[in-house]
Amino acid sequence: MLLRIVTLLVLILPINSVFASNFDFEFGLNSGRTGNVLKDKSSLGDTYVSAFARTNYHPFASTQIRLQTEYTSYKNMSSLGSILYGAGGTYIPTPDSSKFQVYLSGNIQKLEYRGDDASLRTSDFNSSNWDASVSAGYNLSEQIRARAGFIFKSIGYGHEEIDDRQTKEIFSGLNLSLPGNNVLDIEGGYTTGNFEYVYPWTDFPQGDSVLIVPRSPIDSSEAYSVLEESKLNSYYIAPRFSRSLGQRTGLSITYMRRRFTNFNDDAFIYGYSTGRVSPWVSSYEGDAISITVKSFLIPKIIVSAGFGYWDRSYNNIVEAEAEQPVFPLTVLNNIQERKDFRRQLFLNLQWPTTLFTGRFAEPSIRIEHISNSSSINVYDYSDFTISSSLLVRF
Amino acid sequence: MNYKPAKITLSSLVALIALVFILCLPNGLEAGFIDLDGDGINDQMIDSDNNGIPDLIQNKVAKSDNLPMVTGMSIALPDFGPAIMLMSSADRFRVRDFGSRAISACRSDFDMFFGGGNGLGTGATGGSACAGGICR
Repeated sequence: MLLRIVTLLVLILPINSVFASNFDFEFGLNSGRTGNVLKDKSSLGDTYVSAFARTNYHPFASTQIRLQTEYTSYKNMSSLGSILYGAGGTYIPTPDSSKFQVYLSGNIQKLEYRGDDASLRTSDFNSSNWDASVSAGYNLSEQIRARAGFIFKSIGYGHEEIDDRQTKEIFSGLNLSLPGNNVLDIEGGYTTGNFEYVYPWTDFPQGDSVLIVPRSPIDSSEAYSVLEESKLNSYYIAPRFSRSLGQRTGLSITYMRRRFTNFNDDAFIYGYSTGRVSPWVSSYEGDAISITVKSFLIPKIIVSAGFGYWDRSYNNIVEAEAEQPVFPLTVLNNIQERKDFRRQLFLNLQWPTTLFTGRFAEPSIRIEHISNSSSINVYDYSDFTISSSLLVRF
Repeated sequence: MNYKPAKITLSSLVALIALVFILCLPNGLEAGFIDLDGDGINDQMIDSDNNGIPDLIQNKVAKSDNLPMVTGMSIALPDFGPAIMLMSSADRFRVRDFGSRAISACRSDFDMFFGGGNGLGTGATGGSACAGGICR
């Protein structure tokens, strides 16, 4: 896999030198130690290395075409190593001086895990994703800027019995410059998409009537064939307040409220610990708040730090307890509500540097701590990660 | 993990908003503060070498030269005038892309926007969305 990265670099560099004015190239290396790779009770730590390469081609001032690849390798959990391929394009037809802005973008990505550990079923989680968006903004005045947009996303997993997850989203927002170097940005949106779940009840004919009874236990072979289809819709509102603290420091406070509009209390999905794929396992409603600070107080270094808090409620879920098989699944005995309370702290230090050749290089260090408290034991965890990276751009 | 979850109650949110308004005091900077990317730093400060640190902070220009007139959605590059046509397509795209940062993404994926940094390690590894393993 690393050979592919090197080959890509060898191909890209000569092209870059020939068409230097229309190309730019980014290369990054990231290495770190995480105390909890799977972000669950297992607390399996590991060391990882990832390499990233991207080339951007600009045939016109309004257009960018990009190719990227990212390879990740773990020291101990080798099956979680992965390679990501991607391509995309952005089209901005309006000049930067225009009061009216239009932005169109599309991306396609393929993520493949090494998957050489059958017990983790990592190959089932291989995915092909694509998205397309169109958005517009208008400068109502020097203090007020409005925006709106539409995004379509599709996530397809490797397992043939899992349908792609597709969502359509609309959003709009307002950015207001207030007196005293304060800015209020308000954004809201609505998302609708398909949803596949297990319904724990079944119809049982009884004479001229129908009795609704608990489903019989579900065997492993039936895990996906019993899925039913529906829609999962949600809205969010996310105000953000930001301001400068002196000339060299900025403060940002963001709040988000997301709510499902058609949550089905009876539906449940398979969690990660069952080894089954459910693209909706990360869908949640709840509240979140974050406070971030960005500062240039240390010469030549960008320091950013932040704290975030999430209060999340997920779809009803089935998870495996340690050392216990999940299937056959005695349905009503295994459904659990999942509510998580998560606290996250991070600290980033970036050293942007212009090299003597005129190229840009940026070493950085990141430290992050996550504490997650969950109503489901398997998601009660904490994680401490420290990583270093180098970004080169030319 | 045995701690009582701290609920985001209405009273705590009101207290936070009150703190924010207490902070809303003029601090002597120029009028026309624009922040479309939400980092708390005035987007109008010129960053001619595109390294993320404004020229004024790097002491490359005098304070009075570092705040161009705002046109369009915003711009924080020197006024190139006709010379912009001599710039490469890549540089001219970068100017447009910076001017479109308010509309290039939305906050529905709250996790993705929390974390600062340069985005390295937030693909299949690191970051708050994916930690190398299964992205969740």
